[in-house]
Amino acid sequence: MTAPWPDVVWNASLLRPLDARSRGEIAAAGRLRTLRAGEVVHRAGDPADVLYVVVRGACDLEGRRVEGGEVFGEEATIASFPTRAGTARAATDSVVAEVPLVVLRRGAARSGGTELLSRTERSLRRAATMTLVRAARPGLASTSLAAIVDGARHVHVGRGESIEGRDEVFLVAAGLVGGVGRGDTVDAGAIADGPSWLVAFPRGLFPSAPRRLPVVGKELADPYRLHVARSLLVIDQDSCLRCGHCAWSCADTHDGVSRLLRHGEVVTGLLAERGPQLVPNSCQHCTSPGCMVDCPTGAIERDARGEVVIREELCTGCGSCAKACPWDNIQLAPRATGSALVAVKCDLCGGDPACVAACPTEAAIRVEPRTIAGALGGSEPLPRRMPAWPWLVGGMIGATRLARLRVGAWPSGVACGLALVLLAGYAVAKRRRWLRGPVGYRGHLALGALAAGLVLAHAQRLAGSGGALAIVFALAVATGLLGFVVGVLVPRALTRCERSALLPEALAARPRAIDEAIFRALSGKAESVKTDYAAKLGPYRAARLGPLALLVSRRTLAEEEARLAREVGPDTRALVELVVEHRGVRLQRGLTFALRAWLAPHVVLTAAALVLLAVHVFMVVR
Amino acid sequence: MSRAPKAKPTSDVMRPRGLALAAVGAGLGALVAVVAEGKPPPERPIALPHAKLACASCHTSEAPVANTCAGCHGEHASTRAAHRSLAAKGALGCPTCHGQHANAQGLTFADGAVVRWAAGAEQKVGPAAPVASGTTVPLVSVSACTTCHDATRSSDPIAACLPAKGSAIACFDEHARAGEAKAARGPCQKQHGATRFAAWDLARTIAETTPPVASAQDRRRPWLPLAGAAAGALVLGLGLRPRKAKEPARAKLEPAARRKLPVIEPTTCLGCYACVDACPFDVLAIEAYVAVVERPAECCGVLSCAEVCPNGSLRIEDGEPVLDRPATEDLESRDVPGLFVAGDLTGLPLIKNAINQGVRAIDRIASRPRQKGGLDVVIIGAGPAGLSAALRAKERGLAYVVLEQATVAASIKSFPRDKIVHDPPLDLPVEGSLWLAQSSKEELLAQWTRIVRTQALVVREQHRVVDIQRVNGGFSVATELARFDAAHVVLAIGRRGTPRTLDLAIEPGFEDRISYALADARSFEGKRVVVVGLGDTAMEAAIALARQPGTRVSLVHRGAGFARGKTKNIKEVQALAGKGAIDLRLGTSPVGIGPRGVALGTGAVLAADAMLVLIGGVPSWDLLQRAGIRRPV
Repeated sequence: MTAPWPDVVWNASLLRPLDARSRGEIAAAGRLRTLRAGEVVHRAGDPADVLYVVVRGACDLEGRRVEGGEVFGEEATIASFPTRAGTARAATDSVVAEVPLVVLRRGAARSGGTELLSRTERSLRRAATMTLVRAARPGLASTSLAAIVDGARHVHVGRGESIEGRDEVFLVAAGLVGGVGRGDTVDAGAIADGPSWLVAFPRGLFPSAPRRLPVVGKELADPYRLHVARSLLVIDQDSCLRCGHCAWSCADTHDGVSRLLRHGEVVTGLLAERGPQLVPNSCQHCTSPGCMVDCPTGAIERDARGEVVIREELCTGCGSCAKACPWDNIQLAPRATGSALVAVKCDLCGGDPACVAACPTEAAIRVEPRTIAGALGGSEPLPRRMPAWPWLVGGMIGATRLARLRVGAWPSGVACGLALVLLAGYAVAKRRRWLRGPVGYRGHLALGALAAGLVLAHAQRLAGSGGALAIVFALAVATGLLGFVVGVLVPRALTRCERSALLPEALAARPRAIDEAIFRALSGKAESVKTDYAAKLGPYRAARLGPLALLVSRRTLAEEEARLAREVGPDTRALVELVVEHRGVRLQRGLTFALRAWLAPHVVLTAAALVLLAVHVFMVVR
Repeated sequence: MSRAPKAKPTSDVMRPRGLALAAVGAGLGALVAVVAEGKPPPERPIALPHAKLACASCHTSEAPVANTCAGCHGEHASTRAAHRSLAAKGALGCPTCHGQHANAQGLTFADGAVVRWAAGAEQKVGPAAPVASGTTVPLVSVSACTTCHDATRSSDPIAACLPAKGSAIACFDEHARAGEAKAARGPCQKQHGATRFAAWDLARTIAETTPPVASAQDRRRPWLPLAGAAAGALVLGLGLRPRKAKEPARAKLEPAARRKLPVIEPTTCLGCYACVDACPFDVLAIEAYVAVVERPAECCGVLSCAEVCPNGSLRIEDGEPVLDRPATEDLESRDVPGLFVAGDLTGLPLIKNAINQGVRAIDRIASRPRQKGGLDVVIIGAGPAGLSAALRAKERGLAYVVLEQATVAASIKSFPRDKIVHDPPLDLPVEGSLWLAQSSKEELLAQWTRIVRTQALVVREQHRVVDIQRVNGGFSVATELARFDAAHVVLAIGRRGTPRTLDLAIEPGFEDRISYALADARSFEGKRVVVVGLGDTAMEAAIALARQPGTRVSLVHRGAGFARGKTKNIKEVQALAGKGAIDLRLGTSPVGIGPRGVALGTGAVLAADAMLVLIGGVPSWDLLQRAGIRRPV
């Protein structure tokens, strides 16, 4: 049982009208925090669900000082998922009381009915607005501040809606509008990037000295997505082998259903000093999760770390969350028992995501775009990566030494057999956590090269070296080497020619879909456009070797578009994008095939080599 | 609102399974190949005198093969200094000339015969010779010499050995003296008796006169397990792969026999919108947080609503049977075999369905044995179904004719002007895909006429069919102008046959104020028009009329509200009615027309210059019944 709270708390204007029972509840749910001078009360970005009342001492709120009996932290009332705008520190040794907002509202409703509740709500909102304006326009006189706040109007907009209002200026309280975040102003007509809360002020009352924050990732297609992401999965397209181990290991972890679809938008410049990044369909654990709002049964919640999780026992499979997610990161999957559906999404595998762990080239990482060094202006360094080629080269050097080794048939034979078994075992071992990802991949490369040397050393002692086992093993090594070379060369070429990353199965239908779009774009157009198309773009689209030409030219799609656009009239420019994408997709398909084609022979040959090895051992031992 | 995405297995997830299967297949294939070959012939074929030796006798791991020959045969130094010097350096050994595998040739003088041999093969080449039995003479082929020497150069020493072109063996002096010296030793003792040189001369003669013996085939097949592995991988990896259905489930060709209707249990319904989103025809809606069946007439019976309902609050129940259409079995009439129906007549709406049905009917006809004489098929009606049937018939090489009472695609012509034809791309035979997404009626019509022209389809316009008779297994189709005999008939006459009419008291002289189709709304500019009906056709006509300047439109419907039709049309009519542009009169129907206007059942009279009755049509049962189709009751 906690000690009763001092009267200085209850004398705060917000809390004074509460009855004794409500006060008891607040005291039970809240707490008194004793702070040393300089200790942090809350940091910017922390979830905000409590008010603070200063009991003793004083706190500094980035430019404002609150003392005994004063209330701070009201920004918790104007946002669907409020977070702290700034950092608060204790100025002296202090005591603050934490008042949970939910309990305060309930208490107000009981103590004074709707009237008191709405009065409390109004004053909370007014205080929050004042905090917001004060932070946005430091140095305003408090009289003009009061006038500004009294003239304010609160506006909610959904994703894609435009801000409407005449002679008003809008201060963003939460969300992202036209790339502008909290604390800055936008004008009427701006489009909301995501659900946002704005405060509208008459233009005259608000000083017209716009202080512009840097606009969030303007060059990014969907800045809101990156702005709200807390743990965004990105895949470095220049080093991604398109092997699908990320999705596959996800399915492996989650009852055979992958919660990650390895396709989507490719974003350039998101991470500092890295190439284009794919943002695949995988939950990004938003700071303001729309899925959580739309769930009719409350099955979606945040856990202690702030990750958004779905509680399967409460989920009815109605799909509201999946529809609420603007990026299709939630899917409906059959339950493990029965045929009913359940919503599934990334749960971060309890803190160590399998997709990231399984990536052989360390291309897949989870980042918080606002803090990581890159387009959104963060500073956190990216994780270091290690290339795989030194392992292969090292293995090859070792192999040349091994090949010249003079040892008896038995020791070299046993070593060869062991190496072959270990190499084949990689297919199984990479499913286990300890050999997943880069460790297993590098080891496999090095061991493959070493094994080739061992086999040479073993076979050169024996005259009849043209046996089936030697042929099969040599081919397995050759396909593996080919796979590595392809994996180094092709991803960059692929990145140049892909407008969006597509799964191989989706690539086949894409040219046809583009043809449809071309047809739609052409029908009903002027004759000049059609002639222009027939003369230049039609042949470009139809060229059989076009994808090869694009590959050899090493141009990106944008460069190719610019080159082609110079050759056609201005009205036909819109079609350029389509025919270039048509060529790009065909190349993308070919390259994707090249990236995967070597693997089937490699696996098949390895399996055959294992069987022949067993036969060989059997014959020799007998 | 779109539907919630369902988790689908991607290639990323499924591929390892395919690869694992292929790997298992490869292992099994390799094993089968190894086992099927049995114990492989352990060695390459060896020259016959050495046939019984094991590989390891010569191929030891300690010494090169060249050094092991002397172990049995003793030193056979060359008579040629150059060869001796090469041998001393290890660059020339016995096997360099005396290949024991593919290149081996030689003679053995046995008791009864002379045998010429090669690796693993032998041939009797003559009777016994006066040489000690068992004498063996190896032959060295020129190809062994030419690995170092150039036989074409006259300066090369080998030129002296090859006196005549084509003479294969010439030199028998490589080991002459040396061989004599080492005569009496080892297993070869009897080889070097007095007759040795006689044997050489004899061997030279025989070698020149008999063809070389072909070596036995190298029967080892190291590629076999590889081929087995590849075959196994293909069989398991590709053969067992879950295959996509060969063709997408055949397009729905006939309507369900009974209407289906969703029934919702309001006490358990969550109001989650899953069913509303799943329904393609806006049958369901949410009212007071519970799903309700808002427009039952539109239910298509696809049942996806029941599939998505999370807690089973929505069931599908059978409704009333669908009547008033010919009884068919895969488009063929149950009453008249050989007579097919296609298009709206079957009771299944939409242009796309009509096209599929036309194709299907012709495919079924083409699969039957042809009859001699007459046409293969008479297609009655040149609408979407009839024309697609004609295109398919042309493609399949059937003799056909299309009979049309008016002009090509008259049904589409009667759509209101600029009506948007909502349809996904149509897959027409021969023509391939026809992209008509959101195209207007005029565009569709133009395409249609173009197809008839460019494909040179046999279409007889203005041929109204008056009678269809069965004549010895075929049909005789009579028009007002001619008679056609054919083995099959495709009826694609649609349901417009006769527009449904109203039971009206018409005062004399006012018959021409009633019409049953709206061709061009502009001709009603400034007129007062009463539109009867509330289906899509009626609503679209009313919308088109209301947009004409000065036209006053009344929309009369006997029902109490919007029971069917596209949401877009309903919204537009409601909007226009709200603005006063359409005078919407529900729950009543016209009872008469006269000089005062159109009299309604409620007693009201609407002043009208024209009345459009757009309440659907009835199929031409008269013609169908003449053909022998029974009308269901």
